[in-house]
Amino acid sequence: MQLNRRNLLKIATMSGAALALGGRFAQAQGAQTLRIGLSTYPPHLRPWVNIGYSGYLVGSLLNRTLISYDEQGQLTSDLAESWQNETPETWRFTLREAHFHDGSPVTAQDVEWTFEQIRADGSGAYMYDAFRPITGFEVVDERNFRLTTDAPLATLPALMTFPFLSILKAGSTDSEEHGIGAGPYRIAYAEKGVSIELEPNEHYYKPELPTLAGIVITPYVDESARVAALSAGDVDLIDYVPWSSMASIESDPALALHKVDAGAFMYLSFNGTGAFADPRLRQAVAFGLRRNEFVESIFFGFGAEMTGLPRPAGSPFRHDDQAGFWNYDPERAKALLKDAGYEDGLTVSLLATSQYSMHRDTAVLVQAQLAEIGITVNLTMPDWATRVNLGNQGAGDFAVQGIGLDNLDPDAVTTLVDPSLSPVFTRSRGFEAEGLSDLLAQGRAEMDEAKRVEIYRQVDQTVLDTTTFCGLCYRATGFATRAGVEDLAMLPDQLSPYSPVLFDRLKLA
Amino acid sequence: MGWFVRRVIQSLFMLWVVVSLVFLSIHFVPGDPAELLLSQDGGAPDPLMVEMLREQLGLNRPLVEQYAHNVAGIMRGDLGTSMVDGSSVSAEVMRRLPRTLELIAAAGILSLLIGIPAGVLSALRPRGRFSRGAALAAGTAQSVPVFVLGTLLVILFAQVLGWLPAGGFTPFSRDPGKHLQLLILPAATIAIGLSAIVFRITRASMLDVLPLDFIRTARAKGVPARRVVIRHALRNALMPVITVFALQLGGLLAGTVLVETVFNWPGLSGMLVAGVNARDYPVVTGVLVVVSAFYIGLNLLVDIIYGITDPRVRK
Repeated sequence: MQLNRRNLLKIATMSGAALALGGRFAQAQGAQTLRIGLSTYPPHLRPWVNIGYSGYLVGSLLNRTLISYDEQGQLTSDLAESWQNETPETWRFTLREAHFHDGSPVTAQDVEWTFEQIRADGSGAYMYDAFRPITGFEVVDERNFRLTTDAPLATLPALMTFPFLSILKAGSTDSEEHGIGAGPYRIAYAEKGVSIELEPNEHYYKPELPTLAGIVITPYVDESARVAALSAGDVDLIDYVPWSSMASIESDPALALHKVDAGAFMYLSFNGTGAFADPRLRQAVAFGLRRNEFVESIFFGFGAEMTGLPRPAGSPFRHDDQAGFWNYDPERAKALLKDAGYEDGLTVSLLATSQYSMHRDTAVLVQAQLAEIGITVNLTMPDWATRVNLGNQGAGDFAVQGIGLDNLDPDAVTTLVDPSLSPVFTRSRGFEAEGLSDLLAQGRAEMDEAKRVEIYRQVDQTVLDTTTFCGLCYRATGFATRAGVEDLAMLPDQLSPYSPVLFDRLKLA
Repeated sequence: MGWFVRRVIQSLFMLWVVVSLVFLSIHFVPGDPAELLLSQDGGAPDPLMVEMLREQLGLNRPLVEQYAHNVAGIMRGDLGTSMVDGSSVSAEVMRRLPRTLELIAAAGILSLLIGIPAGVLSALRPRGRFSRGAALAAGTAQSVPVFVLGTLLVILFAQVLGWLPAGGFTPFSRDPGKHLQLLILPAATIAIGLSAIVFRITRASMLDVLPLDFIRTARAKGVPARRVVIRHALRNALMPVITVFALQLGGLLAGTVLVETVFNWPGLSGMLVAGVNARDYPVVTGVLVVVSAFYIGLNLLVDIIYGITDPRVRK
């Protein structure tokens, strides 16, 4: 064909039509395929390693844990049909009749192999530390096994719900990086940084599930791009909804916001090598902050004040007097400063990061509010990588933190509130809270729930009195979807992002 | 011949300097890849686990040893493996480089198609309405940051009109139509600013050429006006346009990060930013070495062409 003006015009017209039709065809083909706009492409899909929430979400579609949470936030069977505490140190698990993606049955030998991989030195597994109390694994038969712990461990069932504790087919990681799981979907196509396409697993153990013909996951790292993709109809569901967009999504009839206000949270940790060795100064900080301003100005009103420890509403471990302990009380804060010998003011350094706006803005607001009670705060806000490094080295008098708990056992806060644990950037360090470690150990060993409630009441009071942890506010956590997405199961508090039931019954209208 | 060999050796020396500077700077920036790998979404690994991972990744080896290993690998054409996912950096660079080059090429062509005709028309009637309007538009296009422009285009074409997807990437081999659809907005975002530059340079260059004697002669000989403008004036005015255009395109190779972010285009810039954030040393070094080699190679090529066409350069 000769390239003249007329032919060029023809080509341009045909190309335009192809582009337009291409879009329509794509829409038609994707009628029952869920398109997810994910905040990050998982760094990799190697199992058991903490690869962040986005990696967990993908993993929860591919794999299953032994136990998980149901929509009411109660422990429920997953691959383990039942479990019982035979002796204080022994737990017996019975597996249900479930199959991996390749059709082979899930057996006790597969669980044993999975546990061995996690416990291996250098595994880098998220559960490596948590598995230390487990001293024995006994295969009883194909579907039964027994776990032995070095001491009574009431938290063991909750441990089995942890993200990244996927049960995989024995030896399957030799042939495929992500192994062979027993979740509702398997990978049909994946291109790093571009997309992951999932197809249904016909061997999934739940009857009539999964309901979707497939799932296409596309990373949208920029939050504005993620929201734009949802608004434009490029995707059906997005995670990590920016708080600045929540109001507009709520008011848009074509979209829906699925959130819990008491999701992940912001808090302060203290470094006891400086002025904050004195608990009165830590308390002064806790009483000198107006937490409603954090919710309103940083999270656009989508969140809740955190005036105590992160205990879910309705939990027997939550007590009203403790939940509202850190009310704004500037006079008390000033009195505490005076008692500690800082009547004329105190100067401290706060470590945060400028890379994430919620950390940066929290630090700026802490600085402004503490100035009102006579504490001068100098900010150190490098990028995230430097901030983690400085935090691990013990830089800063106190630090801004943000996290979501991945299980509802009262012991889940231990890694945040006990400064006697190994010094890492997410918790306070350099001082002791007398009796706290012993109480936490008692709580883990106690099987009787009523006694546990009393023990954790004492734990919480110790933390509040010694202020080893200073809660600031919860930030709303959730998803935004097109209006046609139905039956997205939001779980209480911060569990939703970490529950494999999240997408189980989800369907597209 | 000696001059050519010297230039090649100089280029290799420059590449070695770049590799060394990149290696040293990324290693001296605070931040530990092992800590970051195990600290996703607020995870707080035990220091013992971090130490085990550092050992696995070879981060405990002396810096000199790591440097020698790095340089030896690059000399073999092996850019190493990512510390985050263990994948080959060379393979990932080769997967992403064509995407960025495609984006730059599409933007470049679009900017030439807009900038050159507009510049020529504007130069023919420098005080006309079109010229004044085009100058205003060019000024605006150059002053609006690309991420603002990109966002505006997304709002207009994806969210309001619904003509194009808001962003993303589909390989051409999987769906050519979708691939081209997804290319339009990011390419247009880069092209708008770039076409303003092309417009200004074309206009200025044409204004320099149009009053020259040979143009007047051509007109006096009765050559048609369109032929005078295109064959005689524009041809002579294009040299500075090409020079500036090439420099701009070169700068885009690692400079499309904002556009890649706004439109979710998985190119080389995004890989570099992710590598820096994760302190993934092999990825950062690999991307920068490839980009530098690209520049140095282009410069070497230009120098060699100058040397061939103008022997005085070789003295």
